[in-house]
Amino acid sequence: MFVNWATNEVVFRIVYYGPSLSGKTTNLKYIYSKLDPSLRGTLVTLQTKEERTLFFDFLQLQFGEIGGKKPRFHLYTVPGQVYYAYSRGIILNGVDGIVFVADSQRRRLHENLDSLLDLEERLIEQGRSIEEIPFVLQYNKRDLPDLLPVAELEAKLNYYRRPSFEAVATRGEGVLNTLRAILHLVIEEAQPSAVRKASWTQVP
Amino acid sequence: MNDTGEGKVTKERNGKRLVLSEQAFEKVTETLNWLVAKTQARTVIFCDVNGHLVAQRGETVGYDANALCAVAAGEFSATSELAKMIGQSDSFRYLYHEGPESNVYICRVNPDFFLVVVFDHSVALGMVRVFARKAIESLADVKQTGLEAPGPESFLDVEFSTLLRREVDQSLGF
Ligand SMILES: Nc1nc2c(ncn2[C@@H]2O[C@H](COP(=O)(O)OP(=O)(O)OP(=O)(O)O)[C@@H](O)[C@H]2O)c(=O)[nH]1
Ligand SMILES: [Mg+2]
Repeated sequence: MFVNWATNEVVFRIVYYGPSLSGKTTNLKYIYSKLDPSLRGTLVTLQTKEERTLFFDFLQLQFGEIGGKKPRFHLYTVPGQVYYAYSRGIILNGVDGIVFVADSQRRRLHENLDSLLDLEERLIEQGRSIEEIPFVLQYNKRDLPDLLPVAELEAKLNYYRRPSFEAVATRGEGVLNTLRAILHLVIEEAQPSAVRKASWTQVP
Repeated sequence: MNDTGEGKVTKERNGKRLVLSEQAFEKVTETLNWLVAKTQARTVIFCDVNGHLVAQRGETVGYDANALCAVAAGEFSATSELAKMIGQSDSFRYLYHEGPESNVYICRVNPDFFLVVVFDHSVALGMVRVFARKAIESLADVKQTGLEAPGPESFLDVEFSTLLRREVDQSLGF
């Protein structure tokens, strides 16, 4: 979290993580297209000619003024391709909430697992741990054939029992549900600790 | 400066909360004003290495300054890595981009902050360099200091959270 007392802005950093081609950029594009222009800034996409994220995507969400403060959410996506680990580390710096976008296709299970492991490693490098950060999962591409059933994805990827959502990001399905969940968790985390509920974990 | 606490920047980095003192903030805005006046630059922005805009002077319309900071911070980190890769003992001190209408000069202030200067072709690069260097000298000791105890508690109360959650839901159509 970043608070600028001069402008009264409170900025939260949300990072969309996940393996290459899982649909992180597609999530951001949908959010950009759906939100009223007064609620968001420019969508920045730093990508290769093949539309693979090269560095990151960036979108600011701004929710008016509340009690004189201006809450902002900076949404970033990381490049999923394995050799961009360095960029992922930079983007994760100071993260307040993470959305892990998994590719639901059976043949992509290992990439999902590798990416989760990579996420944990990047965080450890920064002296942090996934267990202390608001975190949700999105099982994307539910429209494709040969998918892993959600129960299996839950068992294999969601070992911290965080909220999870099915999605078809190209059609926008599940995108706003996912966003809402992470925003709620991040807002809750920023509250005084006495009133914070242990609500990161899934309700059974 | 007004009494709303203007001039303090608090942030949490890697779980650690950091603070910029009011005097430091005043120094930043004063220096930015000076730099704009001296160089006739279109805009000068003081940002932190995570891409957060701290203060901006000059023109503010026509582009998204928050997005600009995010990209400039990313570029700055990338070139620092580039410097390491080619065996530099320190990261590059500045980056310069020349465009058809405007130029951008980005320079490191210290490990926490950098400065972005956007200027037209009517302004000489040499002049921007000289004055930016002076600005950096006077800002070099602007640092964020660790703040152990009080959390954002005093700033983000329960009511704020409740209202913000409601606002989020409305905006997202829930
Ligand atoms: N069928 C289907 N395709 C999708 C879905 N979501 C994304 N895609 C497609 O998958 C491809 C990759 O999507 P991106 O959003 O660019 O993936 P990314 O995660 O940003 O990938 P990197 O930037 O390389 O990390 C694009 O062609 C998308 O149109 C989905 O839900 N269903
Ligand atoms: Mg992408």
